[in-house]
Amino acid sequence: MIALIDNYDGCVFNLFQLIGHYRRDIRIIRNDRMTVAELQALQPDHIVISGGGSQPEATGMVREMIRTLTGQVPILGICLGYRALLSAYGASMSYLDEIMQGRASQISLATDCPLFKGLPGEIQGMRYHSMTVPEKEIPEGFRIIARASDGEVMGVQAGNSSTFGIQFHPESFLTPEGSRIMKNFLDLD
Amino acid sequence: MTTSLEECRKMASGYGMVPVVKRVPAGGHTVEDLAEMARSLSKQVYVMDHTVDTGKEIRWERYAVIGFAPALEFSCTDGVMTVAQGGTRISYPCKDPSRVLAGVLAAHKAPYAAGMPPFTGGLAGYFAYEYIKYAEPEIQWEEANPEQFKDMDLFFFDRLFVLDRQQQEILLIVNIATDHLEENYRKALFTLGEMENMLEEAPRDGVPPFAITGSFQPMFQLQDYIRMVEQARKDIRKGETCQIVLSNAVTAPAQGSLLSAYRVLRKKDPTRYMCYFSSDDAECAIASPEATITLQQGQLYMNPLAGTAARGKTKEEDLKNERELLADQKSLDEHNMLVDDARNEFGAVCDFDSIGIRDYLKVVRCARVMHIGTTVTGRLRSDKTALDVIDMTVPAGVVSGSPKIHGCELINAIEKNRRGIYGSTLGQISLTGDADFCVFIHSAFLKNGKVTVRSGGGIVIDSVPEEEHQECLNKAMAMEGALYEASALDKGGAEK
Repeated sequence: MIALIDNYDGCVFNLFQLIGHYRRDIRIIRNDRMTVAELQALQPDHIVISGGGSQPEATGMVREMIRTLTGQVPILGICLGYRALLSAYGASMSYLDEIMQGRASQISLATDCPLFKGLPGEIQGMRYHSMTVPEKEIPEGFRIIARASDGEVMGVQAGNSSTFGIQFHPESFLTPEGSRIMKNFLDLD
Repeated sequence: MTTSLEECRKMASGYGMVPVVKRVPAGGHTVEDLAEMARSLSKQVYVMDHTVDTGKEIRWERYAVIGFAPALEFSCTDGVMTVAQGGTRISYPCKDPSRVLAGVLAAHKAPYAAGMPPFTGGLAGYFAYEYIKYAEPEIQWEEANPEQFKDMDLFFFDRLFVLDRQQQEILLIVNIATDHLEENYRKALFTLGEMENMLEEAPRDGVPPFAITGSFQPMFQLQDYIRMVEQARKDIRKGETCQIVLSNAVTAPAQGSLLSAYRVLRKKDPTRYMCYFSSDDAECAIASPEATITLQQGQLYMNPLAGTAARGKTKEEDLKNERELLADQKSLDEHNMLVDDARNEFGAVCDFDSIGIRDYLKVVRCARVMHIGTTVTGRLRSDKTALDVIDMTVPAGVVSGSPKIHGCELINAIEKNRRGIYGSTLGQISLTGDADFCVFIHSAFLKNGKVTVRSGGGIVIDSVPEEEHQECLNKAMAMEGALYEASALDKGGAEK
């Protein structure tokens, strides 16, 4: 079962559809409707965390879940999910100089990272965000795996674990390689 | 030429209702004529008509629907559902009006029949802007409702007139219950005869003439609107939302019926959805460019329009405006957001691997403005109905925000009033399950002795407040002009 954590007001159903191309056993769980223990008991084999309209502090059980389950279950955080991942390990957010809402950027990828296996070194990725995690805030132990043409960090991997976060939206129609990224994630165990 | 009893028997198995259709020559009858007849006979009227822009010309589509004196009327306001049948009304608390309506449709399900128009009977009316509160009860906004806007108002039609322009015929349609089929069929023949007589004999002079009796006043003055836009930009900067649509309105005291305004709109610059709706508390004249939901035999379509430019005065200027619109980053950002939002809404109700987009960035033209459009498609899941789509899509992203729920809360905090009919989703769900709805924009409503034209524009971080204010005025201009013209025409008619 894939646990898809809904952070409210994000495009959770776009993620549902993206995952649904590969796996049908998806359960959408709102971030404040279940405890970490209850989620663990469901034994998801992958966890995807959606974007949303709020701040990492207001994502219910998400940050605790990330700290508890990293290393046990592959986790992929997207946009707010990415920022919640970094926030869970102490990072602070700040505002982007130029807000990116509905704008696609060129994003360079670390193609040796399992999340980006088989992808070109540079892809187009859709961005919907006003907040960012400045590079200096990225906690120790996190590897930067993607970067936008404006210099902003677009993806991290937590050490060698299967916990990843990406700032851009693989589920958007303007991220053509998004499906490939999700397939790579779902292939991890 | 009438559906035979034998044909009804063949269709009936597994269905609650079947349509009995009598085709008569259209003669000189037009949509305007049938609408006048309908409004003379009843205060409850629904007219749905479409045009298509072939590139060379604006053409009226094949079918137009005229319904009046519905069998039932369902309206819901602030958790109270009212069902009216003739003169009788019952009201009861209701938290989930969509489930009630789904139940009504399920009990009266009719088959697709060869050669039938898309709407042969069913529900017709509007789901107000605030209808989202039933799907999302935790939404935080002002409850006050001084204009007494309903959250939804839908007629249930078991009989209809449909004009078929291609065949130059009028289809008289009566839906009959499949239990006691033969008896119901005989009664239907009688009703069809009455409907045919109506065409020639029913009066057309019962429509109260329209008059604007004072000047149009704006809801928000320029300085107020600038402050509102600045607040929205602040909310976007803080990351509270990606974009929200703010609106302004002009209102004038008025009396009579909006039907003549609807006739003026049809003549002047008809656009995609040309509709007229009249109920006990309000009348609406709609010239909307935008389909919000089209559902045809399980295939779902949405056509979000976001990004606006003025029409040019010449063909060269028009094409120049189109090029500049498509090169404007703000407009493209606004548009792209809504395409992803539409995909997301479909994502909740469509089969996996069925959602796609086509005609990306195809510009749609109206009388005074043009918009960037894209068509989003998907196949509805077999366990979902048009009401599930309504629950996901109302209010349309193009009049609310992205993300939607918090966007609506922010808009309400800035505008501080109910939109009600403005930004509502208006149209029909057929007894077959098909649906066709437009967004209530580029339109007017008459309620509480006032006629209102409300229009809005998407605010993004780059929005310039004065330009946003002007964009609202531009969008309202075509409708204001039609209203003045209707008022003058009816005055001239009255003085004869």
